[in-house]
Amino acid sequence: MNKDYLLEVNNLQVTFKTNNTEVHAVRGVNFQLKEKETLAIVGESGSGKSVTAQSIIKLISEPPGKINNGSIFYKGEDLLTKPERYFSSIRGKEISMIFQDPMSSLNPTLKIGRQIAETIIRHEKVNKETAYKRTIELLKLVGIPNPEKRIDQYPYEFSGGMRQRVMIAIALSCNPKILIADEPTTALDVTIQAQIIELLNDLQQKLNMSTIIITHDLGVVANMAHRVVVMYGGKVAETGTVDEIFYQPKHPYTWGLLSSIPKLDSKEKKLIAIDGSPPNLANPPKGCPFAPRCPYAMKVCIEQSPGIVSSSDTQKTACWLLDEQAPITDTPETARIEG
Amino acid sequence: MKRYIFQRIGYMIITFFIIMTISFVTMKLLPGSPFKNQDKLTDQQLEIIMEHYRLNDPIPIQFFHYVVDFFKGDLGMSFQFKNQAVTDIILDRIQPSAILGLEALLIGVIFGLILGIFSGLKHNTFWDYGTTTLSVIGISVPSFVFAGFMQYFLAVKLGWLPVAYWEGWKYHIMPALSLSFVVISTIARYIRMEMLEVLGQDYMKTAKAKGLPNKTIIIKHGLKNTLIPVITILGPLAISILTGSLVIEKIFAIPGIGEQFVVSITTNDYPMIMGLTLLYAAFFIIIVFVIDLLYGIVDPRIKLGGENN
Repeated sequence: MNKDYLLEVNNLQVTFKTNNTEVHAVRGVNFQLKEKETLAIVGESGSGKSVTAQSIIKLISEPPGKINNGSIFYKGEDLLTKPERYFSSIRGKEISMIFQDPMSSLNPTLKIGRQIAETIIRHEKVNKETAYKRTIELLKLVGIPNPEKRIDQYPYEFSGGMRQRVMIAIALSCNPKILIADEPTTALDVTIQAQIIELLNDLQQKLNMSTIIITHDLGVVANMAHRVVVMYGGKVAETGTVDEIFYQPKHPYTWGLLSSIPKLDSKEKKLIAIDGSPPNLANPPKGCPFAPRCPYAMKVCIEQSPGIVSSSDTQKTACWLLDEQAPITDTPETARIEG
Repeated sequence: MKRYIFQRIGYMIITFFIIMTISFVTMKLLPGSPFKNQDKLTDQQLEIIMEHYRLNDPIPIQFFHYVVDFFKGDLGMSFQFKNQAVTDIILDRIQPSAILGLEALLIGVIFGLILGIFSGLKHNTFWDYGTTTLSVIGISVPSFVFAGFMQYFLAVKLGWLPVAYWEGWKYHIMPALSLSFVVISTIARYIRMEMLEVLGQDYMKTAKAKGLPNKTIIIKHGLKNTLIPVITILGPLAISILTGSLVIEKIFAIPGIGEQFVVSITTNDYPMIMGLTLLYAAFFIIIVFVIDLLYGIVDPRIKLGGENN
């Protein structure tokens, strides 16, 4: 446990039991979060990024989910050793979360005001009146016009972007230390996405909190993050500062992700995609999970898990290409970002 | 909202008169005559009685007189009880039936909710399977079978409860229970299904992420959403209690309306049949209306009559 970090996740392993099989969704993930930092967790669907984030406040349903191993240090204490009661006291107060689909994340039968105020009443020792006053302030803060009237309305009277703003207001209602945003813009249309990102950036600076943003949108990463964790097949492929990941990526999967960003000045007519599909985590590969799709894969990649190589204080990559014996491979042209 | 309610009440009145017309005509088409069985009457006496009650007139004329009397608040005199107006008999007998029906509904809803929530939360466990089995039995076995069983075991064999009649709270237990089984089972099944559905919803995860205690999550966030579809079945359930009570009142010799209904049909007591049919019809129509209003209360997304904010 390092004192510099607000949150430190070590060797996290999460499985889900289905009928006969056990899916190893997260297989030994490590990352750290500093105060006031924005960390992006990137990866395609099924890479384990949401499960990782939800495990931090034990939001995965147990059963079928189970955290098998690892530790999550928050303020010097391992959260995974705490009883359920402790979690309900930090959820929404110390660490809060917003979700992907604002259309279904709010309770359709309760008024917006109440859905926000109940969090405040739960965690702060205030009466109803104060809680509603604070609710109105929060709605103003997240940019909802006419909050005095809006608190008496139901979710169906709000648009998708407005509902996500309400979700943000709920998450921020008790001034959390950490905000986990699980694909907060995926379900919104593009113009609204930009507004929400701007709002989150703005609020983070105002409220001095740390943010973990889970996304598969590299545009969001570039706009928000200080540091990036690239996940693949339930493992961390590469971590680094946002500049390192965009300008000096070392992992072929990161190259693949960067290559698949559409570029306006590209002469190529086709969009570049990573061939193949993610590994089946019910039966995880023993080597590097990306090896079957990796154009640079060697024999060792399939047989053994790669070790972690640090190429700077902040950048760590799990790839055999960085091994001393591996052939020297340069970042492909398509993955280079002009900066 | 006001406009919607008035409009609905207008439709309810129209429905009521359609039911009135159809019941009157079909009742007259029934074979038999209210007085033929009383063999002491001579043909001449019979003729006088038939004339007195206007039974010799064509059916449309009879119906016209019935409607006119109806608006005066007069449902006619019973044929089988001397000098007793149908309205008086109904008022006299409505109490036990209403109490029994309400008791059955209340027991049914309360226990149905408890069992349903319980088996939804503990789904795929021993308790869940037990509740499911019980509710299948409750739905498929008719109430009079339960009534018979209870009478035999609880009253005759064990002597804990009185076999029949309607004289104190002990007399209510068996009839109310036998009527409520269907309600308990149906509600338990629906709630269980809905509970499972609701537990998987995103807003339940949001509620958990807010740090709310489990009990609050289930009661404040889950229950209201599970209740919406359950309201739909309350109507048919109330109706099944009503029709069930026809038989149950007979079995337990409860001096209620249901028992009276059966007797009046077997004796062709026309004014009595009409009076009771109209009472039941009015009851059904009102229940359907109340349930529609309840929807609007429980589910804010449902706006009655296209009303605007």
